Amino acid sequence: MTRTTTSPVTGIEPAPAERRSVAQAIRGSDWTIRVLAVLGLLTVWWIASMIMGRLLMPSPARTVESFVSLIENGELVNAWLETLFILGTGLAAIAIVGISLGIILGRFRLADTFLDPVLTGLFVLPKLALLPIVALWFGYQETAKIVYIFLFGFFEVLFTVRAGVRAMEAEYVEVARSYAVPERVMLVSIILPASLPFVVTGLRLGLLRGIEGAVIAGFLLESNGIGGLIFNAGMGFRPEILFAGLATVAVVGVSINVALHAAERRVAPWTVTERS
Amino acid sequence: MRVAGRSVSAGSVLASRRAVRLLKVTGLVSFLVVWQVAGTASPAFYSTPTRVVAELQVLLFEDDLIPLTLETSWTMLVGLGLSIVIGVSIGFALGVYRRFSIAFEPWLAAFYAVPTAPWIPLMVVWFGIDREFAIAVVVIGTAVLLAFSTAAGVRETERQYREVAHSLQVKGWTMFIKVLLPGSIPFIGAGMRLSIKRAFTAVLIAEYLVGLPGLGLIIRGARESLATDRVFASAVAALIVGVALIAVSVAIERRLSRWRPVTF
Repeated sequence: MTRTTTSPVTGIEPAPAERRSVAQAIRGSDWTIRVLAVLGLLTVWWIASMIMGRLLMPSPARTVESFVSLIENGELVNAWLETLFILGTGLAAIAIVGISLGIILGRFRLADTFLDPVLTGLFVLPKLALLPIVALWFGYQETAKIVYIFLFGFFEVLFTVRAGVRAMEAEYVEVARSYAVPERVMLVSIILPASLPFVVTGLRLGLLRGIEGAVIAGFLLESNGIGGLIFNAGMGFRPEILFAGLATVAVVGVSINVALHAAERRVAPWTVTERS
Repeated sequence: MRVAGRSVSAGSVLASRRAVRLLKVTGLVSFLVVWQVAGTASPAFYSTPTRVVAELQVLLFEDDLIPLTLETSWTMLVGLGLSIVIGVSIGFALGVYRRFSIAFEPWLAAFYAVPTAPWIPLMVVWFGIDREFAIAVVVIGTAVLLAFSTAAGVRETERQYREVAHSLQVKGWTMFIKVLLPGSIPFIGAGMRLSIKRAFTAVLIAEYLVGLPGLGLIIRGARESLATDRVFASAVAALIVGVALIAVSVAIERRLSRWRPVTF
């Protein structure tokens, strides 16, 4: 897997091994560096806000203030609840269709080859170009948004699971076949468990893409959810709301990444390049 | 070559490859036929391949598809150029200076977890509604990706050649120019391939949102008119441009990793 490009967080080579005492001394000072970096970034931000003015760059204090008031008046929470609802529904559909189709196409070469040109075409197609089609068929409310999120995340799950099932075909399935394991047993006790790590990886990628789909849907379809909040903040020249909204998107993105990386490590410790 | 215990001649491998291609063509043709039939029954809902081709001609000859696509590509090119300068510099700093990576890598990783689209309104606030903001969106969407691929390349090269370089007393500037830079170029190439894809999406959304002339504006026009043929024709046009960009990016990646004898 090309983890170095898909995931910078874990694709990093471990730092060169140092002698224990030196390593411990450095680890102690790592936190000093991190704290200094945060202070430095805050200072730069603060100075930038002085230079650029509050209309372009809110100060850290003003951003926190606006964040607190967005929480208090419920705007941020409501926006995220709306987004998480369509994201959750979309993801459930992605998981069900993506995993089952991935397993089917991974196992049956004929069907896979037959469908390949169309699926690849849809995968390559910039998803923005699908927006008018989604609007034409499904309107611009929840259903349309869920379909749009589905289109964003579906192919990641499908192609990851398909690749996984194909790879295991050579490893396990041939052995099982030579022991005359029946097809139904093969599915339940070989294919499903062995494809679990790919399922989790696919879901992580699909979910991250799904967030992007949800934000774009909030921009361009009915303007609500976190996408709508960010869009309206931009329209109304309210950069402090933009900053607060972006920060929550970052928190959600990082949490998904971390949680599903942990899941990947649990279900398949051998596939994850561990950071020392 | 031996498959399933039987030796297979080159001729039959070729034949099976031809069979795969035939099956793919059949798949595509069946899709088009189904589309044509469905669209003939309900043209307002599905359009048809023949009507899409006719509409593509309108796009091409009356609605400036090519100049607008060039407009989009130019924005991508400028943005990617800036992104390479910024991303590769940050990437080298991350790969070479341990303290820099300790200080900033977590923040860059968090930045990387945010999709590009939510940044667009902020870029509009900062850079206005001219092409500059679209360029900024490309930089936001791709610089960190390039920084991480460069850093991965620098670290991998360091790991592989550290001892050789040390025993040959290669260090400092020479180390950078002769070892680290060429060593990380294939990684930068891989980052470029992903960046081109992200940049394309980013520019399209930026153009769509603000109404900047480009391919994104064509998609926006289709969305606003909801004229079925136009909706599908604009998607097909975007697909064609997307495929062309993938071809370009694969060529770039291949060119950048050509010197390397083994790929990994």
